[in-house]
Formats: sequence, structure tokens, C-alpha cells
Amino acid sequence: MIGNSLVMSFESKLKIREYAEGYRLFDLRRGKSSGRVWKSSVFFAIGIAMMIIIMLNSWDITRVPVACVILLVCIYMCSYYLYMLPKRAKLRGEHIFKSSKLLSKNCKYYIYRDHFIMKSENETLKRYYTELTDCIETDDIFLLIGGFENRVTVISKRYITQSQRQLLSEHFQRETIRQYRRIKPKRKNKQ
Amino acid sequence: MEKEIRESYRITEKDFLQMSILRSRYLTPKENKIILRIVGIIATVGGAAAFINIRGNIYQTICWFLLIGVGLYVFSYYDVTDPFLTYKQAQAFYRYNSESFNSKTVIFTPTLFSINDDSHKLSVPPEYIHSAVEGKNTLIIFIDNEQYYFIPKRVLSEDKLSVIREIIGEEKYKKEV
Repeated sequence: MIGNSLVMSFESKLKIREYAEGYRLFDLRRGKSSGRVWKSSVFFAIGIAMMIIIMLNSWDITRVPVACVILLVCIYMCSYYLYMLPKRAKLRGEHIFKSSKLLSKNCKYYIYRDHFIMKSENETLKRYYTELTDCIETDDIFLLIGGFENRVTVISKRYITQSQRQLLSEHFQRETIRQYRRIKPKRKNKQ
Repeated sequence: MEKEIRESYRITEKDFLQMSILRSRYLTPKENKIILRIVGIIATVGGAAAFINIRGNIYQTICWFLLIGVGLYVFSYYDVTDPFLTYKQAQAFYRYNSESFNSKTVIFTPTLFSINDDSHKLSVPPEYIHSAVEGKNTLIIFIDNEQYYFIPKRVLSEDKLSVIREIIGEEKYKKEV
């Protein structure tokens, strides 16, 4: 049948740091961290305005206590959106992985032309690419977001050969054109 | 006699909205609510005290009223604003994705929790259930801190609910008031 030819199949198993990284990226795209740059920009602008008000009052904070409080709140909110939220997202991903008995199980993936199937001991999931809101590739994982409540599917690259990775990457680029993104994550410590 | 519950149902918009509000309320940490209430009280009382005691120009008066307003907003955020936003988001999500809300079949036995629809099948022993919360209209079952399934209570009688409660276990089961 047209559209049902199997492109490839492979087995995979997730590690906690891979799921946490996937969840952090999901949160940046679709979760609380999404739009953090413009949100922090708004607070930054308000903070600058408060600083100007304080400056116009000769830096006498007793004359403009409300402006000082607002400035402190803006500084906190900027650091919250730029630094604290992404860190919390990664921690939350680790927390979710530890709370789940399913995420650490072996999964078999069947990649078809217009959909993929994930099968594990307890779960079978079929998702069409048209249902996906995002397909993100990094050096270590493929992250597929979509379906009911933007479900996160993280595929580890550890068990996939180099040629399979290339084939899978090209396949996702072709089938999820608008949703596909290639991200190179920042790494502080290279292993 | 073996206890088995098998139900098939379709999720309506009302079911999804009620579930979303319950889930949002259940997942919100109590500390967040307490912190916002404290901040709201401080802002409201501080603004009121400043308005009464500090004689200033019209701009300062406006600032104090704004502070009182912000304090009241922050105090009542999780009672008014958060449910409203959750309701609107859930409503938009359902209407945009209504075709993905397929009929589901749920099975509960002492050794199995299973939920199936056209695109997804899950079969786990009840020990895999992380927690469950029962609201006025919905029962939500969490497999972990993120993955959840919900059953509208309109398809479950009180007897079936008590069987489910027994299978999941009292320590994992919470009833929201």
C-alpha cells in the first residue's frame, strides 16, 4: 500500500540525561520556558524605566520606594526566565523519568513514510507526522512533540548506527518540513 | 468473584475542560499558592496602609490603589485567573484537535490497568500507576509525573469507583474536595 512502506526499524532505550535534555527542549518550545526571551525583555524594559525614575530622584531610594521594589521584582523575573526556568525544566525532566516505570524500558521503533510506531512491553503508540508540532534533532536525541497534550517522545541515538541516523534525519526533514529543527546544544563539559 | 471494570467512552469538550481544571489544581504545588497569598496580602495591606497614612499627590494615590489591585489579583490568582486561563487553553486545544479525541476503552482488574484507543494502547500492572486523583466529574490516573489518562465519572458508577480505588490503593489515591 502506498504510504505504508517501512523506512527503518530499531531498538532504543533512554537514559535519564537524554530524557531530561529532551524535556528541557520541549519546555523551551512548548512549555513554560517558551517565549522566555520576550518575557524577560519586558521585565528588563520595565526595570530600566524604574532605574531612570530612581536616577531622576538623585538615587534617593527613600523618595521612590515603589520604583525600587518594582526594580527588584524585574531583576528577579529576568533571572527567573533566563536562568531558573530552563534549569528547573531539566530537573523536572529528571524527576519525571525517575517517577516513571515505562520511560526506562526498551522500545522498538518502526518508522514508516507517514507515521511511526513505538512499541514497548507495556505500550504501543502510533503517531502520524501530521500530528507532530515539533521534530527536534540534537547530537544525542530525536525529540518528537505532538498528539494528545503535546506528548514528548524522545529517541536516543545511542543504539542507532551512523548511517541509520543519517537516514532517519533525512526522513524526518522530508516528512516534517515545517516542524523540523536541528539544534546543537551547548556543552560545558565534553565527555 | 474477580473484580473487572470495562468501559468504553468518548471524551466530550466538557469532560476535557473539567479534567484540565482539576489537573491544573492538583499539579500546582501548595507552596506556590501559599507564597502568592502571602505576597498578595502584603501588597494589599501595604497599599492600603500607605494610602491611609501617606498624604501625597494624585500619582502616589494612584500607585497605592494599583498596589492594592495587584495585591488582590496576586492573592486570588489560583482561584480566579489560573482556572480561567486553563479553561480557555483547554477549550482552544479541544476545538483545534477534536478529531484526535477518539473513543477509548479502559479496563481495570486487580492485575491490569489498560487503556486503548485507535492510536495508543497501554497495559500495565496497577503497581505502575504513580497516583490518581478524583474530582467532582473526573478521575485522572497518572502513570508518572507527566503522563496521565482520565476517565469522566459519568461512565463510572459509585461501585466501580470504589473498586478502582481498591485496585489503585489508598496511598496513591486522592479525592479532591
